[in-house]
Amino acid sequence: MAAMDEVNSHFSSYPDYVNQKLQIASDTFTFAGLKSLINFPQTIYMVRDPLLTASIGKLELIDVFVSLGHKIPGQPDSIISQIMDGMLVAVHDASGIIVSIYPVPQPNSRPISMPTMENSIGGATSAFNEDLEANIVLLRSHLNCPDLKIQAYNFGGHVKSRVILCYIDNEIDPHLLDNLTQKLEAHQKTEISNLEEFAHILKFSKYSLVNHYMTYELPQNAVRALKNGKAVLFIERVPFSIALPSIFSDFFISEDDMNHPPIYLWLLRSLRFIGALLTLILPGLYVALVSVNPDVLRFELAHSIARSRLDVPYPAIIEALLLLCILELIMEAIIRLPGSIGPTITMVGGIVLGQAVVEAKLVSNLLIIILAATTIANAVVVGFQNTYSLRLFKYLLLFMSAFLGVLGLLSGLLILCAYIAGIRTLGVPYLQLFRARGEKNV
Amino acid sequence: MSKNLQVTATYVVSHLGLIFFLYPIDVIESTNEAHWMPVLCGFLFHLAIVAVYLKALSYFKGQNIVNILLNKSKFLAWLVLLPALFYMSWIIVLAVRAFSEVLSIAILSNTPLWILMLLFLSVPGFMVLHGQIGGLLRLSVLLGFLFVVPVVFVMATSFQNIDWHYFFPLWPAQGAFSFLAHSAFYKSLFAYTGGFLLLGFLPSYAEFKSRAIYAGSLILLPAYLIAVYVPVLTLGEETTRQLQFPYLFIVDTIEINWLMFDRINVFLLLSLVAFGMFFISLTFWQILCVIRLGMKDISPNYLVPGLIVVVFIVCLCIPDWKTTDKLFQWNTALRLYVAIATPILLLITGWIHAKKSKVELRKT
Repeated sequence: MAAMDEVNSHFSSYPDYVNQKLQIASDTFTFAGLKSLINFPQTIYMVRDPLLTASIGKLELIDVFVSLGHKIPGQPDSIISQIMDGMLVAVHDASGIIVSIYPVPQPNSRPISMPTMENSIGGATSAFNEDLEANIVLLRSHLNCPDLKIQAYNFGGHVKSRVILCYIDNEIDPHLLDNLTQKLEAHQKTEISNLEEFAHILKFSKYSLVNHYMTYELPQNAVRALKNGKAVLFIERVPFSIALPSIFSDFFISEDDMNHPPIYLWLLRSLRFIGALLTLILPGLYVALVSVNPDVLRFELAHSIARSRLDVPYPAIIEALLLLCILELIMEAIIRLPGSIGPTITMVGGIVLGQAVVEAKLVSNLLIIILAATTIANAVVVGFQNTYSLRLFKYLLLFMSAFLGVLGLLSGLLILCAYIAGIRTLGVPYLQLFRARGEKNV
Repeated sequence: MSKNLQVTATYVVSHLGLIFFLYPIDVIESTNEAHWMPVLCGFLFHLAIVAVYLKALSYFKGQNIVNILLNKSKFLAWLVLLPALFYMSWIIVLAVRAFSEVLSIAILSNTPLWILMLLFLSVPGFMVLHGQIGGLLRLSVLLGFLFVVPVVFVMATSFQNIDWHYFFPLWPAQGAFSFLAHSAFYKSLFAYTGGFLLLGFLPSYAEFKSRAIYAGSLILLPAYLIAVYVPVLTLGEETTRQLQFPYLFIVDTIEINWLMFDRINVFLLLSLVAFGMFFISLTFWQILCVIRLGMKDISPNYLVPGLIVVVFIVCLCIPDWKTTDKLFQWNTALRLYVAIATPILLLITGWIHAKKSKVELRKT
């Protein structure tokens, strides 16, 4: 067959291409596929069994053959694309009928396991992984309801990837759904392999300083997002779910809180809020109080701070920036290092360097305390991406404080509040506490 | 979707920023005893104009004041809107100038005034440009949440040194309503009329119930009373008269042993400054509304910077605090006109509108 010859020559250089013939009674069948994607022995067994039964029972072999999969046209292009998608292509040599069969696939991702970025305390620990189907299974097992809608989109012209959109019909804001589906449908030719390309499709600003979406590895978090009227998306080979849009409370609320008694739940959430405020304000407050408005402090305290800074040769802002820079370096370095070396670096960076810096009179003792508190407080917010925003925002407040003291700190905070209050994601305002509700355009 | 919480928060926050600076001294100047009378009178006046305003707006569901008036008659519209526009620009200039002056006195004595004024214009400018009205309404809730705690804390601690004897006499011996003849009383109405115009601009962007506004004004009443009475109860009426910002002075004298900060009034001042900037940004937005809906639809990206530059230049031309105070005094007549004429004219328009539509309804 000409089409099959062309397919064979296309795949001739592929080491994992298999083209196998099978004789059932008087008919010959050709099976083609990639053995890296298909478990061949099991698949052939699966296919051969009904054909043999049919030939023994004197049934029409062609009918049984066609019912194994679905018929595809005989063009080489469509055959190649089926094979690349991991399907088994079977040809009945005599009639030239081509059928694409869903095979037993090769396992191509890790089994469902613990999350790597999120920690769960008192909640389920099976996390999403790279396999789209497994992710849907996890989601469905956490949210067994008929209103859960799942839509698939294919993206990319040359390199293909699948995106799956999930939402609950009665919960999601209609404006949000309209906006989202419109944008997804308008860009089907674009490739998506990372979140940056994804954000580009949804037209998020490149200069946005907060996350427009949350990424969740744990299905219970994705389910809560769905119940709160958000959309959840899965991108092929991206090992987490993307919950759209993110709102302000995502900084402080995690689904696993719900497994604690209500008092602790609210205490924990308040603690996170206070932590976020502290990490923003503390460095700025130090600089403001030391360099611009020392009179605000109690005399004894102002005196002891001044004494500890007596030998420090530069202004408070430089002092703070120096140490902050080292802290940022440590935080970035720990991500790259293997787990076994990480603690050593923390030790060297935190204790040895900190002690040495103070002894050498390069920074004051108080600053070390403040920056340590800041860095710890930075980590209390929910969601790793959210800590990036906090890390950046504190510099705005730091510079404003150095410029105008406590008034600068306040102005920085106001600018920040105004910024957060003004952000919208796909028509949904960012500053909301419980549900993602849309707003008519002003 | 109704936005009662946001509108109430906006209403309360924008008024709170105005109460604690000039209002106490104006009230204290207007009468020698029984200061609750001018406070209550002002408050009732405030309730009355708000009630009339809201009633008038209720005739036109979901329309803002600019659209309502322009649809009715051009002449009437500009009779109301032009003074309002002028008044609001004047208010911005005064607010920016006054806030910078207060801050310069209280915490930043070495910083040149123009930097503070620029700050007071650019931050509200950013608020308006980035968030539009939706963002501003949401911002009010966030600001309320963040800054009401320090304000309430300072208010509570400001009772530290009071002497309740100064509270008497409750009823003045003679001339109970003599404050009505004093110009300082009309000056003090500033704290009541500053933000009420906003309610007329909101309906086309956010639904709200009038109950939410009345609830908000009830929250404000204690603030008005505290701002006047805490200085009077602490220092006595005669001494308080000598001070420029009595409430801020009283807060400065508070002593709290367990707090690491010496000057509590910085927290109050900063919170009020935050509310003040919010108030300025709201006024910016109202001016934007009048210009864009009433005159020419210019992009806010040009309009806001333009406004900032104009206001900044005017602010620079005001040489000292005395001139500011004088401008404030001159502003009284215009303020009263805007506060009284706007709601009443709107109410009359509403009445006629309702009657007309009733007649039309009967015809069909």
